[in-house]
Amino acid sequence: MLDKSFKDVHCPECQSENVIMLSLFGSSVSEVMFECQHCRTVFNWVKWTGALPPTAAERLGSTDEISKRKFEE
Amino acid sequence: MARFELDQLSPEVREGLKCDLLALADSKLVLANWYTTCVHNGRSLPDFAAVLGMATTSYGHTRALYLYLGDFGMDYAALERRSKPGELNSMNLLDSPPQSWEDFVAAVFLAEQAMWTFASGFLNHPDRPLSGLIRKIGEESYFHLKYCEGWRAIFAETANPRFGEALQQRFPSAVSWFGSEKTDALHDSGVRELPVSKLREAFIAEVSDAAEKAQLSTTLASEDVAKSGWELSRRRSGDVSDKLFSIVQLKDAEAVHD
Amino acid sequence: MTPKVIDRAELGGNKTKFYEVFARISSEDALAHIGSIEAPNDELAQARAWYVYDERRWKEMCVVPTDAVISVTGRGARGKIKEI
Repeated sequence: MLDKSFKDVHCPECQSENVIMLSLFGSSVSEVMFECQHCRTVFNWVKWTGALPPTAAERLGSTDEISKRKFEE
Repeated sequence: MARFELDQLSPEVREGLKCDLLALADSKLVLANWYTTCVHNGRSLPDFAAVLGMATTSYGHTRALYLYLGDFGMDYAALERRSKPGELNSMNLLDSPPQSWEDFVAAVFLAEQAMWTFASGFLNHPDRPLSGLIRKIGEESYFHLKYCEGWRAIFAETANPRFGEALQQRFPSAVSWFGSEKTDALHDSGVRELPVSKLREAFIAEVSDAAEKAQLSTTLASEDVAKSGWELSRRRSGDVSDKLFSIVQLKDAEAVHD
Repeated sequence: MTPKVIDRAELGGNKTKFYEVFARISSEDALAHIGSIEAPNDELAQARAWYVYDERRWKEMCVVPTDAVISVTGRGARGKIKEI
């Protein structure tokens, strides 16, 4: 199970979110290396891209209210 | 995959969503004007850059939301050029101009936090263009809120009482934007992730936390919107002043050349 | 109307604090030094750096207090700031 700070990582080739982390240190110190389980692409992802402020749901800690994935593969 | 159709929504929910997005867009428009009007009260050159940057992103959010409202049958050109104060649905919080730099930071923080907490209810919306737009608003709001956090830290460090006073004074108006409805058709239909009463709760929690971190002993009181002529469809009571409207309003081409 | 005299305290006290700004556009680039920013605390440094260095849409940006910089070739000297 991926750390929640990686929950929006998706494959740059096929957009799948079914990725596994190969290494916490990719090509550089600030990158994480992932392998897409859908198309087998290995890619780097820069840590902490596009940070959002806490959403209302996160603020209240109501994980049971979080809606399901945006799109089914 | 087919795009989520707004027609799938009931007329009541569709109208509610339209009104909420318009209230958000109009509030961002007024906030952008606050930034551009007040920029020279910033305390340094980097502050000017930051305030103008926040104005630019706020106008960008307004524009993107107005364009999205085209899907609800609203006309972008008409939205850009409102003709009367009664047509502007910005939040009551921004009606009265800032009285000091501390008041400016307090009001801007409350506005940015309220707008993001409210918008975050649509972050996981099934319509990808909308959820993407909300995500972008969030990414940019991150820096607006970071700027406010920085100024709160300075006020805390210098034990400036004026900031706490301003926050306390502005808070009831800020929280009134969330209304006091106990039911939420948008949440029931899956359009909003949490009921608006929960969004209100989250907003109060965020502001309380910020006040505590800044070592303020403020009382955050709510306003009873029910008795003040507050309209849910506009998320406000009364109209903005003529003066504010004249600042915000886009002038017609003829008037500009006078 | 006399202009308001700004208390130095509003700018974060008598010490001015500098941060070095590093950024990159994409993961192919190296994280590079792009400038510096003056701010009294970390949060304002983050916000100001993001808006001042706005000529590119950075994928990654970070700020480091200048006094955290330890020179290797300067024989261990820490980053020195001229008082303003």
